Amino acid sequence: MNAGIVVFTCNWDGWSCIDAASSAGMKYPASVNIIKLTCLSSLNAGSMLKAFELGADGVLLLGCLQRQCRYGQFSGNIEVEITKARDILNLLGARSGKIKLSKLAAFDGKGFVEQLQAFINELTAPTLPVKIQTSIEKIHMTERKIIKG
Amino acid sequence: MERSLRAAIIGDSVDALQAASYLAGIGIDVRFITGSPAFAFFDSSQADPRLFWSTVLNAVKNPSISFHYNTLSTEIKGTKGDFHIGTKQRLSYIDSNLCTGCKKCEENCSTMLAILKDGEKISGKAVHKPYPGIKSVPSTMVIDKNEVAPCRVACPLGINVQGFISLLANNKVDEAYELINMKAPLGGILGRLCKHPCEEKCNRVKIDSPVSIRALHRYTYDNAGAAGKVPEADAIPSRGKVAIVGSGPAGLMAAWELKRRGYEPTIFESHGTYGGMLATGIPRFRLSREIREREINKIISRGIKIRTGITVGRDIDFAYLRERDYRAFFLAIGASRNNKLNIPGENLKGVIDCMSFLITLNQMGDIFVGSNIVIIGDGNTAVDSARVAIRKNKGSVKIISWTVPDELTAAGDEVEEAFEEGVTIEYSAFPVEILGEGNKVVGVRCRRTRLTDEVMRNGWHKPEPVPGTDFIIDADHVIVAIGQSADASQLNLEGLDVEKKLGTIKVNPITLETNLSGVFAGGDCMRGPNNVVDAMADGVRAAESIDRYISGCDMEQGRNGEPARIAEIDVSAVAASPAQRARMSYLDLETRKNTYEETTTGFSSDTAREEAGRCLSCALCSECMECVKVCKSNAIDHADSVQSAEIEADIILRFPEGKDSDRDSREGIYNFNFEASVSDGDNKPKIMAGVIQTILDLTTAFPDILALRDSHQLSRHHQRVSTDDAEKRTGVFLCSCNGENSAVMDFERLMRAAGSRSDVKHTSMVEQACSENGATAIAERIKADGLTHAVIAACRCCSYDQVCYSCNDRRILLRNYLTGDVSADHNAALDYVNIRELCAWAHNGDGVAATDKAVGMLEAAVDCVNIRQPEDLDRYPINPVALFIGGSNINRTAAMTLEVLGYKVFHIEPPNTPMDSSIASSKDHAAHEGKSVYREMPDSLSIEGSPGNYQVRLEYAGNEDVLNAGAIVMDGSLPQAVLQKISSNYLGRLCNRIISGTRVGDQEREAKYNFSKYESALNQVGIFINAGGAGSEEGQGSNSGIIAAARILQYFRSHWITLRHSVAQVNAALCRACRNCTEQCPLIEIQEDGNGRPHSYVEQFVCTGCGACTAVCPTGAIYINNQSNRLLAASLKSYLCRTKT
Repeated sequence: MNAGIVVFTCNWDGWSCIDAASSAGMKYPASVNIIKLTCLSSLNAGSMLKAFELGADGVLLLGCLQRQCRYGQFSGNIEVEITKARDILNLLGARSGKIKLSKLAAFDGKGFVEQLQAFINELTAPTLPVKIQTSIEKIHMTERKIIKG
Repeated sequence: MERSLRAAIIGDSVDALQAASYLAGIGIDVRFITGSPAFAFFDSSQADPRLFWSTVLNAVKNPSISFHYNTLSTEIKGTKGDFHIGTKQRLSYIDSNLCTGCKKCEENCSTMLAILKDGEKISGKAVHKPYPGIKSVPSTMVIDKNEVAPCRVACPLGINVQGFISLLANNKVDEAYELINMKAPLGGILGRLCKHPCEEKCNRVKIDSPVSIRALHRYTYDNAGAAGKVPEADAIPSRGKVAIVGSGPAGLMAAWELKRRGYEPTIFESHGTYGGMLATGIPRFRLSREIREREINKIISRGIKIRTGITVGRDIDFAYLRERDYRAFFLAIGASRNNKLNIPGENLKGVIDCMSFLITLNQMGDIFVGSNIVIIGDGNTAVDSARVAIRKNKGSVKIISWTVPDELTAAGDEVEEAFEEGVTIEYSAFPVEILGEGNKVVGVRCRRTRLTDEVMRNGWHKPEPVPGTDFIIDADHVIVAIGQSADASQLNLEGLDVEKKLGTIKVNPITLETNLSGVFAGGDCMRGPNNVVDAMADGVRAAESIDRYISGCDMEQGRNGEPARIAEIDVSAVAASPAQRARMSYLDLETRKNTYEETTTGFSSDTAREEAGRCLSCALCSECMECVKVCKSNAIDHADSVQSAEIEADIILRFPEGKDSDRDSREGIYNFNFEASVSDGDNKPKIMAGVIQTILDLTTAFPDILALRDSHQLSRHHQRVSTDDAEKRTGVFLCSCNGENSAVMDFERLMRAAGSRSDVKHTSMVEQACSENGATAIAERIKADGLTHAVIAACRCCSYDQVCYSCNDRRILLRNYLTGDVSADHNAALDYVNIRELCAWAHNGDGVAATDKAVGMLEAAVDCVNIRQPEDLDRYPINPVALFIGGSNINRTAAMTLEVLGYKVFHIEPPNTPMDSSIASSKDHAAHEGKSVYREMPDSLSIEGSPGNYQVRLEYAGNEDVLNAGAIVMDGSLPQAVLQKISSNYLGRLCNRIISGTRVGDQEREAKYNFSKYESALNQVGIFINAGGAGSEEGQGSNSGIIAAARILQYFRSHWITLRHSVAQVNAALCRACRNCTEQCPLIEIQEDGNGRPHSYVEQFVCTGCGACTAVCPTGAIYINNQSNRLLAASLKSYLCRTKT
């Protein structure tokens, strides 16, 4: 199963990583779709959630390192939006790890492919996230307590 | 001057590139000369790759800059205004304008080079990216070639030896066969009989032993599937009839070459069969009949006439031929007259000459041999005869040689085989009499010899018989094989000049012409008995001479045998593990002795490949032409030989490397010592100021370059497409990238999927969009189908006029072609999507998935292009008038500079602004004092109008004045009080915000916004804010002022403003003035509409397009059209919810 990933990238440093990777002949799964924005700061939580609504397994945000933004933006904006989106995902019982923010230096093709692959591995890992697991355990323990009397 | 000023820039550095951009920006025609094959960024912890690539790509994008790569300037002649720069080109054999960098040539290249560098083995193909593994612009490939390989030089026929061997090393046997055939259609014969002068020159011997070239040659012929395939003859009408006498190798090759050149050769052969010595004198175990016939038929089957059984000189003569319009003659009768011993007993029965012996065997298939056979002679024919004899004979076969073992004429391996088969040799024996009983031979009386110092024609010492050493050898069959001679007398050609002693025909060594005009000779009849390859080479040479003779051209020009430059290699640098040459395998001895067929079996395919792998590739690229076969852009030209050219220029800017480079102090040459690295901020103004001052000096000297007489239409110039939605017609163009993209993705399916949308009216494919042909095709189809919007699916990612640092020359060229002469963008809005790197390259292992993805990408791209409005195509003309607000050093210097250049300038200065002494005292100021137009600071100032054409309203106590200017230059040190006055409307207020924000002390604001980013966006629409205050260091203001002037000048010279596509727009109806967006961005402010209702406002032509405002807007009132939520949702749907089409 190839995880359907949507990568939101900025047009500058982020895009240069993706282009560097492809130009160097690096491969990544075709189930990875790339949407180019001028700047990650323009992305709101709604767009990320829309991706999940339409069936994406994960959303990767590819942005620049601190103080590198061509528009002078800081990552504060996108981090706020990510938190909003994750909170809603949590509320829905989905794994909050489905959104990942990667900050890379320009032209880091290898970094892009590595981060992408790590993300795919996380998403396809069979383990349940800790939160739900502990909740289930707690329920079992409570059950036993009740049964034991 | 009628033409643009031409400037040459010699250098490599980023500074040189920036200078180029500045010069081009003001209308100068720049020739950029660099010794590198391309620009590349090598990892450096100090420099910023983004700045590097921006500079490179902006220069590459500029149509006024032409790049000369691989070009070293050797000398500069001439004077200012008329320089001629001598250059030397390092050839790369690939045209960087055509090469798309697809690397197919590298995949197909058969030459893998391996060198040792610092003990490590590095390998790579002969064709490669200039800096393997590192991005380069242009994306072109380059070929490494090193003169001519020694094997190729040594071959009399000029066969590309290294070429066919590299092909064999890659198992490309058929291709190797074709390559050999180009020079040697009788190659199958050479693989068995050639004396291999190539092996004598093979450099591999410096490591272990030479490559077995002849054996590999034979392997090619034995294993090529295309056996019999010959290069097609061009259909040229006959240029004349030529008669060739003799159908041996010389005659056959002459016929082939003449036919190839369009002549009608006819071969006259006195024997019944053709092939000359090949058919008569060479036994089957050295050259089988099948190979001989097959090879000869290759030549004959091209339509060459052979008349057998006709002896020229006896049956017909030259006069007869001349009467029948034969315009030239080639004598190739060989050397067939057997030399006689001239000793008693030569006429006894049982004494036979070797030629008759061998001919009988070849033609009858069998022969009588005695039991005690003696062969007199030590050449190849003698050995051949001996080996024939031993196959029939049950007794002994002995060769009598008059010289010592080391000086035998016969080839060593032939002698070896003869020994193995049982032949013996009696050395240093000279026959003096053949003894007989009755009339039959019984023995040979010999005398011992000793070597003298005299050296014979063949290079060995001449032996002389020693008296008194006679002895007898028994024999009942004597074969005389002491060599053949030519016999030209049979031709009965009167007046032909012949060598008296040897009987060979005398010729001019370059042209092979005899003393009779139009009569040429070659092969054994000219050289004496020799190797087959020399005879073939003579045939080719004679054909060239005959061609020139009949055409009336000079026969010797260019042919005086100047040796080609032979490739030298440093054996110690080559990474090759020692391996002895492969041994030819033989049939076992028993089989061998009983057969007349070949005794050697040839290499196996593994052996051949390994043996071919021993080649050191001395010439690097072997010209095997495999790259040319796969290059669909036709970018490769192996014959490229342009080595030097002159580049003309009016002025030259030199950026030599290093600190103390030699200055060239001639007038018109400007030297810039490259001392600062790219990111060294401090030195930059100095260098750049130097460059720009130079430029400005030039413009004073050549004022016409700034001819303001250019027609500037101040009226709006629109290229509108229809605004009616119903008329939207979208086209999708797919670039196959010369078959690369279409090899991975199913283009049929892509076109079907794209065409299935109702708004897509046209889908088609082009081979190479980044070419003139491709762009023209697209533009024509846009016009023909009345398209209003078009998606180009190629390698380019976006339609913006900007240059991202991930861009490259192909993407730039693609847009340049489409928006240049063919003006495709005048008829339709264009958008681009990258299906090459992002789809074909990234997913080339899974074509189905790649096609799936591309379907989604095309759909999203169509959605993106369809939202483009006609206003996007508007261009705004720039009014070349500057208004300076504020009197800082920088402003004043910049203003003065522009005035000197002839531009109209307004000044608005607060009262009592002091003028810097350096400026007040400069001669320019004095000259232009009185020409500047000064205004006092008004009570209020508002900046209105459209980008590039502002109307600045000044209010003075109720009176109004309007100034029209295309550039507004504001002093960053204006006091707050003054700033208030200019804040009457949006642009003024914006400048106020920017200037206030950059003030030192407002650290919170400085932390939040990076104002310099906004400044560059404002510069593009003609609003310049100069940092620094009055009273700043003298000189520093002056430098910065010059740079400021240059920026304004560049802005003026670009004539038009095209707006960015990604800008924020506000739907006031949805806005509730929550101020989230103004918090994000100082370009946004709150305004009130006519009803007093507040809403956000941003001027589209200053917006940078980052979109941070859109993310925080709760209602979606502020949005970027081509990044709107609606469009994002549609793109997501296209990517994630595709149904298979």
